[in-house]
Amino acid sequence: MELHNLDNSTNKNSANILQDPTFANLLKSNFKLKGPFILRSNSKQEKISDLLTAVKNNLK
Amino acid sequence: MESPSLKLDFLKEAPQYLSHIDNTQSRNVGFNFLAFIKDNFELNVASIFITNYKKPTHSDLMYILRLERDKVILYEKTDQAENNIEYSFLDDAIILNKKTMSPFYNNSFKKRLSEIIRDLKQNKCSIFEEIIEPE
Repeated sequence: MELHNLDNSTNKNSANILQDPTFANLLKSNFKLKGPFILRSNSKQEKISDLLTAVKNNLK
Repeated sequence: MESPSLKLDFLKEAPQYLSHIDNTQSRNVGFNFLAFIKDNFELNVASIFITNYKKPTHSDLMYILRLERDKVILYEKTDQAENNIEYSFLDDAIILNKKTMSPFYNNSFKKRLSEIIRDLKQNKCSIFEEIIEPE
């Protein structure tokens, strides 16, 4: 499994999580991630919150 | 005799006319939920992870949510329990720890999503994108 922080984020917390083997194992064991994969941090909170709001509203 | 009329009011609810998703109900006729999800996922992004892992929090609940184009999966862990909840957009089914839940469970899951949305707005969680590598 490969975890990379692709962007030049100054968010130290995000960068640390991506290099944390416990977090990598949680992803591997709970989300069926196979083989190498690439993660990068994202700071678009508003856009992601809109996506999740749409998911929530879609629930009857 | 009254002349026939065509009402197109519902079109204002179509995704391209919305200023903010909070202003609509995704069950409205003009709103296409799957199209909205697809349009807001960048092409090179396979999934989006949201987590409060290693974030200071008042609760002992750790979560990782994975949003894909056709489903959302929420993994939660406390000192006492672990839960894995999957909501499929295609058949509207919620599966909790491999068990299909009745529609009564929807409100609980909506509440959890609201809490995570609140965390997002208050910058209490981290967001990661799973990138699709170019071949």
